[in-house]
Amino acid sequence: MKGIVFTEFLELVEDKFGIEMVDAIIAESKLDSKGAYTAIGTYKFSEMLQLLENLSNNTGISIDNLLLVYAEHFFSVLQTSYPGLLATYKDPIEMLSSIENHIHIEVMKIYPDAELPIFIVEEKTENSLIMIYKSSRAMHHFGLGLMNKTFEYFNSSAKIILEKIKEDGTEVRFLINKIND
Amino acid sequence: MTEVKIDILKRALLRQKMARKQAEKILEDKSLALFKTSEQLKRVNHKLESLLNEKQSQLKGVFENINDAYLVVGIDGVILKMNDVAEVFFGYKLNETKLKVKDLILKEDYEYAKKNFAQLLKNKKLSNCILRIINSKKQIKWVNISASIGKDNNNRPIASQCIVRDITKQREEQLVLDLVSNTAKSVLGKEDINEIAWEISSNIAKYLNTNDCVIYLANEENKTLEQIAAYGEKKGKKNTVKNKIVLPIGKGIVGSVAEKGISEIIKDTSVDQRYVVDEAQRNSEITVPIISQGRVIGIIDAEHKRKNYFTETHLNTIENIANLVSLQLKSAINLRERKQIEQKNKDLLSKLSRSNDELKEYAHIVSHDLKSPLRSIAALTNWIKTDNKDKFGEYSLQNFADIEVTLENMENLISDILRFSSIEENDKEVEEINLDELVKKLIQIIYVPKSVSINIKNILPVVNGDKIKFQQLFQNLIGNAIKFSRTDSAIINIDYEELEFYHKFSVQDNGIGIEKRHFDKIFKIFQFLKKSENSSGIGLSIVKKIVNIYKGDIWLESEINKGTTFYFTIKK
Repeated sequence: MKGIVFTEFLELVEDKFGIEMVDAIIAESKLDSKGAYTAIGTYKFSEMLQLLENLSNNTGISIDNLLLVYAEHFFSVLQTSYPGLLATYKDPIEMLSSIENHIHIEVMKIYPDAELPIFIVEEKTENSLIMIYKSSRAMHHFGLGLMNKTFEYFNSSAKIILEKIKEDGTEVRFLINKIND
Repeated sequence: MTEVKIDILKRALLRQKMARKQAEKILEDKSLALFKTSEQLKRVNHKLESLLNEKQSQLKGVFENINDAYLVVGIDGVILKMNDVAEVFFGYKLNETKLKVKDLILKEDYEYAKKNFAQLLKNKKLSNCILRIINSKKQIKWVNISASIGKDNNNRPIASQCIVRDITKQREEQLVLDLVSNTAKSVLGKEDINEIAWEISSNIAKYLNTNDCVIYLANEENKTLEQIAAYGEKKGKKNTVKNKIVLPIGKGIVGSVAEKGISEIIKDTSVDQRYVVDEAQRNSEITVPIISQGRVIGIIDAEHKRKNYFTETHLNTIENIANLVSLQLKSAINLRERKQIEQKNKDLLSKLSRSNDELKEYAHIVSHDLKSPLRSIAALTNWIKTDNKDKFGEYSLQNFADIEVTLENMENLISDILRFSSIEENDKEVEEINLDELVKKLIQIIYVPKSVSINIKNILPVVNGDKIKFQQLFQNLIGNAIKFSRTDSAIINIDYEELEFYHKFSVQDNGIGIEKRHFDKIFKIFQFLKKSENSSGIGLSIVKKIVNIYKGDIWLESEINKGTTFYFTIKK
């Protein structure tokens, strides 16, 4: 997993829960990196899992919700760093449906060894989208958070339903319906 | 600040340092990788560049060293590049003139070129496109074009490369070969003058690419030239010449070439005074004589509306054709003459046969018409004599006797004339005749006075011929021998001698003989030396006629008061 995920995560944790929490969850985890992350580095996903688990234990918030909040924060990082990417889209449905074909490709250009999930568009209309999320990391709520923020970015909102296809969350169906106001 | 907090901060700081170091390492690695990549890129670029240069110079080499004209033409037809050969061939330099393909192609071939260009775009390749171009000097040349389309990276056609090969000479040579072989083939085996002439004119007109080619035939007697065949505008329906002209030898270009026997090219007829306008004024002319055995027998003449159209090559070719056909033409002329003569002969023969028939008929009618009044007279005189026997005196009765004799003679004469005129060669009645038997029988039949003895000295042969004629022949000769014998013992000898190609017969008498000066006369009809009862004067002429029919001869030897021998021969 790319270092930027870790660095942003720890900064959010520091922001929301303080530097002591950061110190704590690092100390509680067995990390090869010893908790030293640089955005351009690459680290084991299992480290993120440990950090998340310990954070969840310390805060009492579920991992899913933690991821949701993180994702919503992560979106602003993306916004700042890659405004051009977002500007190519005029519509949230359009943007989400092209995650696989466009966005992830752009990501691969910069971080060629990034491990990204696979999104398969099952159905797409002007106001709805059904996508399958496949990833060994099962960070579906991270995806959900990003999706929420996407709609917000386009001054819109949507009802998104998550269906677990596989129990472990490595395969999930997102049913997205734009709410027209 | 508490210890705990300080420791936390220390640890945080440490993590930051470590993170920074990691970042730096990653950056360094990335820089190195980038550097290496950029070096590799430089090397590859370099290689590519040199490869490109190589290719370019190869292409340039081809472009410059190729023997054919090489052009690069844009899709819109604008000529982008020309090699040296092309510049010389077409006569333009690209840096001086802007050229489009249209400017180089001969108008007549433009449609064909367009079709081929479309094919080129479709198939990406074109080969063996043969058409005419026109260069800066307005010369027309035949070329063979091969082309291919060049494309850009997106597979869109950008230009075509064309190689243009000059095949003018080749084509001319081929045309000449074709002309000669076609003419030879089409003229071979033809006997009719007109057919030969039409073949020649159409083959030559096609070769020269003109629609005016006329063949003249020379008439030696009238010293004229007559148009006997034409191609193009002078050709009428069903191979006739429209508005046939007959030129006297010496008049016009055609006439003067016929007179001199030397071919000519006239570059501009408007300045040649000899020019005679036929169907239309045409500005170039080529005239070649057809010569046989040193005499001009015909003229090949072609015209074209452009000035300076005909070339030395054309002249040489047509002279060759003239040589080729002169023999055939001459024999056709001879054949024509022969046929005319044959026809004349045929006409003459049929006229003769008609004459003959008429003559025979005439003779029959005449003799018949003459004989019947004679018989009437004979009968009438007889009745008068009989009725008046006792009233007439001796002299009158003698006169009547004389009348009767004369009438009989006349009748015989008429019969002989008829016989004479009806003697003719008749191949149908040829049979084997034993002359010995025939003559012996004859001697028995005819009246031989007691004082005459006839001897056959040698056995007469067997011959082929007409029995009646031989009978007549011997009858006349023996008859004559009896007639002109002496009153006391008359001896007639018939003899035979076999010669190499002839049978020789003789009839000898010891009679009164014939004077030498009469020898020729006696064979002529109506000439008789001694008027006697049974002599009509025709006998010997009949004999002569028969002897002539059998391709023999007749002559005589005679001495007055000693005798006469008639000799005659019959061809075996």
